[in-house]
Amino acid sequence: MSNRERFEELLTAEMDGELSPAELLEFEAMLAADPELAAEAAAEREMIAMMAGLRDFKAPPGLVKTAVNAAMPGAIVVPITEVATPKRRLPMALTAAAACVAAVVAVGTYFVEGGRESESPASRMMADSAPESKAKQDALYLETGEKGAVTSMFFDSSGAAGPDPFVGPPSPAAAPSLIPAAPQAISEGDVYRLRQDIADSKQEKVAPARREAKEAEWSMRSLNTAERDASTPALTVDTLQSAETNELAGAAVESQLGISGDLVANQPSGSVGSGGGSSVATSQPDDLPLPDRATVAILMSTVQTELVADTWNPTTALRYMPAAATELADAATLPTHRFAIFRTLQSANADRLANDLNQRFPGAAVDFSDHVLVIYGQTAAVAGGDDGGFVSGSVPGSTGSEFYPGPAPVREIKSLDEVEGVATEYGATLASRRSDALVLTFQSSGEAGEFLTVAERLIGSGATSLWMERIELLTSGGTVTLTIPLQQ
Amino acid sequence: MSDSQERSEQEQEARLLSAAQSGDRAAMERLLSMHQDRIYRTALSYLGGNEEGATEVAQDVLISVARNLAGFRGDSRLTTWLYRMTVNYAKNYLAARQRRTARFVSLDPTAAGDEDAPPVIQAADPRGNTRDRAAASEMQSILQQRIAQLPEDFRTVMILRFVEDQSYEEIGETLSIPVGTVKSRINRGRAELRRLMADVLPGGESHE
Repeated sequence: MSNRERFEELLTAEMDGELSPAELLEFEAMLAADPELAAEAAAEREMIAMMAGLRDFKAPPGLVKTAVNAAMPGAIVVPITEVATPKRRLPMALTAAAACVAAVVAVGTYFVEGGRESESPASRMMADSAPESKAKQDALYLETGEKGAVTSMFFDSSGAAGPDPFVGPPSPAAAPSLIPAAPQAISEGDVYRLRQDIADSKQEKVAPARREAKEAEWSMRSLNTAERDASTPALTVDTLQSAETNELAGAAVESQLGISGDLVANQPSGSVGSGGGSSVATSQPDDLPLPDRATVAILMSTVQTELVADTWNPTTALRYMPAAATELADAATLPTHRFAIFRTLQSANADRLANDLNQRFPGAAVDFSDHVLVIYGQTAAVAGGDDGGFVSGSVPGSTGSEFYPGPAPVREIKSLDEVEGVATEYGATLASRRSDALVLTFQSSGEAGEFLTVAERLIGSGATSLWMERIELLTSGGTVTLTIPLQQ
Repeated sequence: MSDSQERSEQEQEARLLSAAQSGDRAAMERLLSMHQDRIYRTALSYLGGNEEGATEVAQDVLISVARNLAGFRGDSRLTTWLYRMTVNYAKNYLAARQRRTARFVSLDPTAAGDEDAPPVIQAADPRGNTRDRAAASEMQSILQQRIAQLPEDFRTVMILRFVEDQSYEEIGETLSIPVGTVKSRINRGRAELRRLMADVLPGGESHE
């Protein structure tokens, strides 16, 4: 046996704690005689010690609870529990709550004005998405939910106008039945808890909550009545995000919501979730009946889940309004890949989309400034606007496992400087530039949305990808932070 | 850990296992809580310090365990089952990530040809291994990355042996390979990792 081989043997024995006293002496003598081997042994010992140090890593919180909830779902529980509202402040409470209530109000207005107070967007979508005819199934539906009157426009893929598919009594919808009824009233300090059994999914692999939502990314609180002041909406929802929700938008999209699984929303096939933008803070959320608020909040939270889902490429609802416009440009793709857009408020992107629609569909006269737009088809999808809302749809028969991939690239950005340059045109400030990511801050979500719109054109999802690592809507005085990791 | 402590833990685990298999939710939670850290850190090491990926893998494993625990017959130790599952999920995660990575090109021209760049998986995951990297020791981060560069056969045994402190026999059981093979892979894995760590270990470059 060579000296080297003997060294390895003794070193291994040492690592295994199996050096005999005689071997220990032999090993020490060997190392003393050969500095190179001694250095090697020292390196080895340090390396092994460092590996042992990796034992200090702890699993992030929430994994076990999520796993148990996913594997051992309880019966549907819809209590109004008399639980004192936790006296903790969420930095995003106001903002996120505003965003949450934004869609609530918008949707609520939609309900009320349309005379369907008890319906959720899901029921509407569900009802209307039932294919009553091949023609209707293949058609592109547009609806404007204008106050006081439902102005309907219906186009098939050839652009021909048709009857409003939303007119008439709603057909039975499965989605709302999966969402427990909300209480009719709630007292200050109450916490309204919903728990939805998610075990009913026929999906082989559901999308359980992966981890606790990071408050910096997004948060909504539910019926946080004790803490709120006059300017704070009554209804917000705490949420956990589901990392794979968007990828599993097949027969079911599920997400677990709430602190420690307080609330689980199920978005079954045929349902639609709606999300609120940031600017609904000017609305009056309390005007909406509580059941509607709760229902919409659940649905909306589902979308929020998708918004931050890390597997959603290329990331954010902020980019989907222009993406939707692009999709519309190719009506031939609609029968197999459709999407839903739900818009609640003014946004530059919505105006752009309206212009785009008007150009592509002569006579459409689309004006979204106070309207709701719904476009849907067969495949689950999500769309949205920067200040507006967004919708997730999982329509009957959908089989899609990926969302809208984005338009074809125009050209590639070859350097971070170019990204920075574009961003600064939209008011971005470079927060930090790391070797692996570019962190930009914008003063509003509108600017961020504008930037992403342009960036999408420049970069194109086929060549590279932007990821929205963190969204901080209206936090720190309205700053929106985008982190753009580099892809390799 | 003393023998009596270990025995006590084993007895507790057996009780929890039995209760969890009977549908006791609290027991299930406690049982999973006992093991979640080892699942997570095994995945973390396997994925080169990608915390996001490790979280995802750990979540998948825990869910799978929770769902399938009733069918666990105890033919092998629970930890054996958990480690095996964790490694498999981590492999699947890497495979999925690599498929996605193929679609991306770097935005950073300086990254091209950088031999010191982290493994592809880290670049592919924009969130993994970045957010908390500053908080972790730099050396640990480097070590995790280098572990991830080991050939898979070496990587798994090295993690189980030196991070998880598993015996050769336990590793052999987990991976369904003979103990001799375990030892052989560990010896070669050590040498390979030492080579990969040569630039950061004291005197590490002297031999290589």
